[in-house]
Amino acid sequence: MVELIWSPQALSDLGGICEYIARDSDRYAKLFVERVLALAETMSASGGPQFCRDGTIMTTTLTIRDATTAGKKLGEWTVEIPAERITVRELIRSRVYQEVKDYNTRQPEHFRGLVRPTDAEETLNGYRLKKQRQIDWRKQFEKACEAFERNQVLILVGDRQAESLDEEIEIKPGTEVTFLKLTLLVGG
Amino acid sequence: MTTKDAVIEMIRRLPDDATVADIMAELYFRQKVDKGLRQLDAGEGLDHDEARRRLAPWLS
Repeated sequence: MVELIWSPQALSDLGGICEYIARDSDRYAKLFVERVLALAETMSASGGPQFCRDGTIMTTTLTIRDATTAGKKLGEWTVEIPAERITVRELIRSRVYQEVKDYNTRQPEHFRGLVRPTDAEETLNGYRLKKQRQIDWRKQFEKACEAFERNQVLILVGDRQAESLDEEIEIKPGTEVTFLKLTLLVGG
Repeated sequence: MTTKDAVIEMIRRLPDDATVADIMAELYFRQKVDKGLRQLDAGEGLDHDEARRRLAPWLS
């Protein structure tokens, strides 16, 4: 864990960028700031960023997919990880955080997350919440970690199975991570 | 290193096909970063919770 310190300049620039985006869309301004904060938090939790020579932060693109045990692909997307190594816990955190924040900001009809929100029903297109509301990412994250420890969800890095939350994964270009849900996970 | 030298070095490091707009964007970015770093050196840094509070209008 590395402590995050913000310069007033960086914060006011971030606010300025949000105002600019909000001229067109408030929703996207919010989504943008959430992404920036999420990236900073992942960076802090994964032991600090790696810098490129020009001072920009190096991020690695990771492909994440959800699948059933029968091998059916349920969804695939990419996340930017601000490090080359990440623990399994941080990987779960990045994933859950991002999908919950995206849902909370955009409020689409379905939530296609790892964990079913408590008052949601499962449909073909994902979880549908009975009432539109904000999902609690921390509860979802706790649930997902518990499920991983109980082998209710398996995480494959390439074709190797991750064994513990503290295990470090090396992310190279093209690394694919698969989440296999063995039982229904509920929380948040 | 003088400011002039730093700017020349910065331009040298840009790709060969950099445009005037690229150079101006990079210069502007540097200026902001340097200002931020000076604020941090002067002990004006803010912790993450404070950053979240200041960005509260943008957080749902």
